[in-house]
Amino acid sequence: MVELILLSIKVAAVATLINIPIAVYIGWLIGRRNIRGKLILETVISLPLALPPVVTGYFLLILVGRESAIGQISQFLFGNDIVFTWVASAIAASVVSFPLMVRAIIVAMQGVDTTLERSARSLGAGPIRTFLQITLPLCYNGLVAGILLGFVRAIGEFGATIVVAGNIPGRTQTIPLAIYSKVQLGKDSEAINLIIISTVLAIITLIIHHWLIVRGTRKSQR
Amino acid sequence: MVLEIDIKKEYNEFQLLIDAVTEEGITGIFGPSASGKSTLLNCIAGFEKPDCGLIALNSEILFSSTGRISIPTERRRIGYVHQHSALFPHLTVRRNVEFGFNLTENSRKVVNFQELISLFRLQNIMDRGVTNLSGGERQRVALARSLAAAPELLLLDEPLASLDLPFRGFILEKLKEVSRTLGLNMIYVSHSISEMMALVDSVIVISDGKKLAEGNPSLLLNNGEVADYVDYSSLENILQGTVEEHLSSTLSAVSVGAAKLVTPKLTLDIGDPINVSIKAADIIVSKYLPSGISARNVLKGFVSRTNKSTNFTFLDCDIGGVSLIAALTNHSLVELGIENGDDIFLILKATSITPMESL
Repeated sequence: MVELILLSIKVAAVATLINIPIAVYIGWLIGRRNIRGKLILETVISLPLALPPVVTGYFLLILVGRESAIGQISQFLFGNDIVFTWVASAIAASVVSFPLMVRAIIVAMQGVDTTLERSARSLGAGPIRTFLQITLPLCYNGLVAGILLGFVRAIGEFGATIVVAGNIPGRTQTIPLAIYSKVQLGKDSEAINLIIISTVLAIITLIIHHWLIVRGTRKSQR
Repeated sequence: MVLEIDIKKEYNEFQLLIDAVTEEGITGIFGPSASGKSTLLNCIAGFEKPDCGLIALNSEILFSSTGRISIPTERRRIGYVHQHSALFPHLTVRRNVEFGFNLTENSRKVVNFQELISLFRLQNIMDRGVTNLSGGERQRVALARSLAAAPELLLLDEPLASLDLPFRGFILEKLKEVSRTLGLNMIYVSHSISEMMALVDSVIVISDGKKLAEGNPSLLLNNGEVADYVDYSSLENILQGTVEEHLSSTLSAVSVGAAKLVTPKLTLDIGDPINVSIKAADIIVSKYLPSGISARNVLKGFVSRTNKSTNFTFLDCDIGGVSLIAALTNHSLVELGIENGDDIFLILKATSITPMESL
């Protein structure tokens, strides 16, 4: 049981950590820059939100499967396939949770007043310092919301994961997959235990979210 | 020559086409809204790129389309004070001011940090966040923050536009002081004729993206072409003086040059510097010394210059060495028969004088 919970958290945490830098970069591109093809980029990054997760899972299976280039590279480097490992679970969770994270970050980035960034530049700060010291801190609430929203989506991921990582107890079975198995096998009391754990994890995440937001607001109003 | 600008920038239907040179001191850029003032400042600061042309500061090229040069904002050493302060909301007052200060090489720093803080009287608010500051406080922090980065030129984009009148005096005074003591050159954008008259050494008038006129700020009063853009009803005289005495529970006296003005009761101490504002339209002009009159101020002087526009005449009056502008309709002027050099009396109620004493 403890292993199951730890694996679920590990998969969701790794998925979230992979997503953060990419989401911040894409969020900045879409939210702060006037780039061409913005609509296309927005559509592509939102696609996993609109597609049935099973379809996303199938695409991933093609992308990282044994026959794919990525699969071959993994074989060569680690002597291992990606599919049906916890890494595949993390990739699936990462892809499915990405749109939620990036959309919250885009909205936050769009809300940053350009005159503040300009002020920082006129005070001698280069673009990178301006981004790190002004833009990013001003996106704090959106960033926190996006990251935690992504995390809860990742920890609840089911459809894409079962296609690309399977449902192997001790290896790729996360809490949602375990609940599904228990219900299938009619082990309702064990399923209920897992459901309670799921709910507790969700509540803890939301409390952390709330705490981070309140803390950020207090800091800025001091 | 401080700043040399010869640029063109087009967007949508609008075209900015400016060729100008600024000299030492404070240069005003005056024009109606949407005339291109802000775009011009943005190009100078490096926030926007002109389509073509040249911008040079103290002979150093900042932008040149032919030389394919465009120095990024952070290396232009040009400060920028925004109308709405643009303070960093997630930082305290101290960290706002420190932001540019810490990025400036020690050898370039012209004021030390503590001097700057006391110059703008920020000592008591240093550790506060900036979100709950008053408008006046915000602008004081914004100015200190800009100066902390030791700019070679300071751009001010309508810095007083969102402040109530009493708060403007302190900022105007500090701008003059900084320009004088540090020798810092400034470009001051505003559509307030009063601020132009009170602050700038020379003015460039722009309208619809083009330069309309340039020269001494008094051109705002006597240039026929400029007259269309000036809101004369709001013209105020902003005078620098010293609190002389407290006359009663309702009245104080302020000395401005050799003249003494009776004003509403002030909270400042005797000897403190103060700015007062007098609307040009509130001044009554008389050819003879009036008697039996309730107004507290009857000032003797002479007309040093008459500036005629379409409907109004602005009399530049010399009151013991202090210049005061009174607005008359052309009709009154004809009836009074006043000419340059004539002795006159200016009549003012104490309540027509607004002290600008708030921080």
